[in-house]
Amino acid sequence: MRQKYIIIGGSAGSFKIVTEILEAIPKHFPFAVILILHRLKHIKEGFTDALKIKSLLPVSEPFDKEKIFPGKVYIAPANYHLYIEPNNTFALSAEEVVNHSRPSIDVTLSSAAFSLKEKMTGIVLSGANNDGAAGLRDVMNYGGTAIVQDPEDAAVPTMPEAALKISGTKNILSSQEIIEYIKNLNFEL
Amino acid sequence: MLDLKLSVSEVNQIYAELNSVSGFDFGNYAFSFKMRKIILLMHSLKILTVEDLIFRLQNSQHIVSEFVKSMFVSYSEMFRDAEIWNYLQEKILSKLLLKKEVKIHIPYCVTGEELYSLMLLLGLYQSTHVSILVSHPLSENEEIIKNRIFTQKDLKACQKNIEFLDFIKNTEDIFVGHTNQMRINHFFRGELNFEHCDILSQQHIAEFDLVLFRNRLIYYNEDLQTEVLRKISGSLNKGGLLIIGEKETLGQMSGKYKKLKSNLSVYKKKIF
Repeated sequence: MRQKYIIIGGSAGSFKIVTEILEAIPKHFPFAVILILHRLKHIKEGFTDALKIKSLLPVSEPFDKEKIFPGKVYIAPANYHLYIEPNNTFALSAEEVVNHSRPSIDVTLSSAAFSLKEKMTGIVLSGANNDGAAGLRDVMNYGGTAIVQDPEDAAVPTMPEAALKISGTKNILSSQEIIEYIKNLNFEL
Repeated sequence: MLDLKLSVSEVNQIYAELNSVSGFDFGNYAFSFKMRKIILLMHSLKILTVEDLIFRLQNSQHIVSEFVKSMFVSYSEMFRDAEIWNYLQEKILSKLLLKKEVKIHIPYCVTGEELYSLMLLLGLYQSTHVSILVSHPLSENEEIIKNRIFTQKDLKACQKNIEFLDFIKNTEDIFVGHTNQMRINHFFRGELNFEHCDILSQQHIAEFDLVLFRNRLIYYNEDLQTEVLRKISGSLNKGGLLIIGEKETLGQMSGKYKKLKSNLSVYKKKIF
């Protein structure tokens, strides 16, 4: 098994596809799914619960230094950046916003790229700024798989367009193809 | 951002050099945080290689100073996580202030948002028997905190927090002065002391009733977290309170505390 982690970054217009991905993931899924979604920092109740309803896997917001397990969905907590450490744990940070965002997709993808290398897939979805682009470039540089939602398929194309331009990945998939890709990761085992 | 590829050994080498030229040991900080700080520094200085960074650290006190400063994360916001402050006001302070003398410690204070939030809250009681010890990692922090000027950006960062507070409703009651030159209008009447030191070298034993230490542990690895928490635990009175960040945990030290409310990181030190 090569891929063990799927890290998905999304912003404006991504919630629908994120819920569709969660609905499509089977109950016994041997990967950790980590979601970095731009969200309002003061709304702590309800967001994770809304995603829990859609998922057969357990969904939670990790605590600092929590170990990462396959078969779980983790959502970056509001108002924190989320690092992936080389020892397979999360580390949180309250550093300044990056790309107007905390959590920032770049922060997570860049740390994951280094820590997980070829064991990860990074996916950048719909959004209205450039967050995720530099992180996805790091994913490619360290040997991971980089996927971008087709800008024509995205509700807001700015973030996928920036990710394509900066990372240079050729893996451009529609929302349905992303769902199929994730499901097929399971079948490849 | 620079397209840099660093190795673990290069990251360790850079922090060993920083320790050598500054005396600050960040070896036990969280790895990804350390790596990001290197990349940000190299990006801002347009340094392309590790060799060049090490050379610059050996030859520029200014770069050493900027690097060290960046490790003590300064960005925060007044009344971050409003529910903690409401809980302090509703459940903690009314009991705590019944004591003859109340001692509070804010370790690793860098720019003062936690301190000013606390002084605003304590100002509601106008008690004179409360002392706050502010310990800070860099000598310059004391002046920065004492003369803290708040900007529109600071105000914007905490505006929503204040909307969620039960005891203050209006930012105009708090921030006084002209745009980008504002100060905090508090009525704290207790004693305020500053101490420049590393928390691990502090000698406070069973002294404090409350330690406010939020969102600092996250920058440490688990070994350093345990070491720092052990030190803080020793500085608390029996039954003293410790408040940490909402996503931080006490790890190996959790057995020494009782959590006071399930969804808040407010802990009471056990008596036995």
